[in-house]
Amino acid sequence: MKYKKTILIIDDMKHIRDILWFSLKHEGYKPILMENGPKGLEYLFDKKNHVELIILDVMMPEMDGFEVLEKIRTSNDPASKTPVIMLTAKAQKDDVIKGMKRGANGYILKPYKFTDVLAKVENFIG
Amino acid sequence: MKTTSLAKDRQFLTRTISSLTDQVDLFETFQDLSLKIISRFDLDNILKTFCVIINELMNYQSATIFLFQEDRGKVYNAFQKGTVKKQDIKMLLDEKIINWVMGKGKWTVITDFQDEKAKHIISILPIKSPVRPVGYMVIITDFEPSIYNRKLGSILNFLASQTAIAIENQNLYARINNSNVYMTNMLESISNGIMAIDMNGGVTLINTNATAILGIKEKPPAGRHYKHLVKGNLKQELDKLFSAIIDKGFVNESMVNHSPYKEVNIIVGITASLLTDSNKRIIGIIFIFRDMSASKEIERLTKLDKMKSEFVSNVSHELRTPLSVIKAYSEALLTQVEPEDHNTREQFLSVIDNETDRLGTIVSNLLDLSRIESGKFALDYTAVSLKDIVNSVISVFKSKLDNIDILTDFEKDLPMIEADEEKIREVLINLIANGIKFSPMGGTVNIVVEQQESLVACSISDTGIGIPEDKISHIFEKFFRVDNSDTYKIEGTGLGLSIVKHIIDSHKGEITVDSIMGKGSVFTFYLPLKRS
Repeated sequence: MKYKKTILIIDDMKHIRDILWFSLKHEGYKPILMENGPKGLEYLFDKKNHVELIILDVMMPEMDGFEVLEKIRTSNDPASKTPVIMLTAKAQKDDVIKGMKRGANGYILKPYKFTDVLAKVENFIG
Repeated sequence: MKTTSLAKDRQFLTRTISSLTDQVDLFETFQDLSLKIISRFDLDNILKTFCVIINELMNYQSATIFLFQEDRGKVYNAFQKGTVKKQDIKMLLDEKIINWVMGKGKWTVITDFQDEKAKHIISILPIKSPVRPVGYMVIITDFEPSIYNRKLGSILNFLASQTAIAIENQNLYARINNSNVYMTNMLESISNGIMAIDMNGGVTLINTNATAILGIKEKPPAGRHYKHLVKGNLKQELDKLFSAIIDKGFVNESMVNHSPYKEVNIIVGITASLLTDSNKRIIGIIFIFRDMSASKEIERLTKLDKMKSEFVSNVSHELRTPLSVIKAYSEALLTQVEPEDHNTREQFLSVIDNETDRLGTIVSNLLDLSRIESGKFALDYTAVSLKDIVNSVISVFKSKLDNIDILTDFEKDLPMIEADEEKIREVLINLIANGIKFSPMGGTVNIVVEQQESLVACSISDTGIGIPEDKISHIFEKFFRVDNSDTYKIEGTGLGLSIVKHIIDSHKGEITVDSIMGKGSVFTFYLPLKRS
């Protein structure tokens, strides 16, 4: 069986998680879904898991995407280098800059075209 | 011998008395003349009186007064009596002669009495105050040397010094008057209200803006105590500032709600500072009043402007979220879902359907807002069952929820009410959606409907995060959103509750809210059974 690369999706919206799971799986990836930042970080830093790419929502309860990103990038774990694509409906430019400054590798605005998401994903782990 | 001696003594005494009487007469004349001059306060009158007296004494052909300008020392012709033209006098007199006479400081005759050809006698009378030379008078008389004697000289010198003092006084008076006018103009042009009081509380100065802000009909007579001019909390505040400023030497601006006129309410900002004399002794207090309504209004508009831009950003986010779901699911349906995978197709289509409903709610809220704003919001009354509406709304919610319970409790035999069914549906959608939205960790939304006399009451309670106490009074304001960024980032347009309130108010109903932070909120609305 062909090896499937793992993509961690952190988004509080079930519909978005579900459809990303469906679409990425359809393209041959192994999507893992987490509904908030702390759960996502727990999965990422768990030594048993290996994540190749993260798709991260910005506006989430409890811990927002920027904070999650900062926690990823400032940790000593090898997983801190994992590519992160931010996915959000926030259209302000300063949010893009805020994300990039904290070490995001890409930025996709909702509503997105899945082909754009796929292109970014393949760019890093294709 | 004795007789001779006596006669001599008597002669001496008579002469002395006569001389003394003359002197007394002279003094009386001096006093009389000086009073005449000094009692004038305008320059023209001083000079005119001066000339009239000189004329009485000398019967001149002409008298011309030249004055030095106070600041620049320039000479200008100030007054002319008689027939000789001032240009001729200027020609006649060398500047050197004038300077020499001014230096002497005494009345000086220029014409040589021995000159047989002379037709006139010209003399110069310096006008000097103890402080500075003020000017001089050139007097021309017929050639009659007999009237020129020492007595005339001392009278003229005296009159000139009195005139000089009168002119100086007049200058000071004019200067004070000017600076008074200047100060009044300045005071009146300041947009703040200014009121100065002495240490007894008597008003010494007040500008028109102060009378307007304080609501005083006209400027009070000087010395009137401020407590007669202002009443109530404004007076109390002034009392407080009065003692505070004397105590500490400074005060911070304080705000007072004040109604200067009927149905006019303003917020007045008051500061005070000490008034001191040249010896730094405190002689009074100056109050400055600021009408804060304008700055409050700007503050309000700025806040509203900020809320509007946040609103636009929120709305665009709120629209993007369901749109992205619809877009992603339809894209997957078109390109990834196998045609024969009916289960997935149906599941995706129902997601699209639900998100379309969500978009519909936002759009109808926006439409309501624009109708409310343009005054076109109208109700379409029919007989409706609140129970039916509640049930139909929650059936839609229940189909999408995975971690929240919605419970209902309806009183038996609820009557129908007269209301706009669509609008009441909107109220319920907004309130229930809020209950769910603000319970991010799951929980229960409880809906109770019961009759209370001529009203029907519907309460929607949740077990969510609650509303901070200081925010409760604002939650029905348009665009208002509780800043919950510290705990939970919950999205919204800030429109729902303001529209809910508008709908309930339009039905002549009422909506209340109770909330405990961390426990949850209860929204209860009451609608009249019958349309009034």
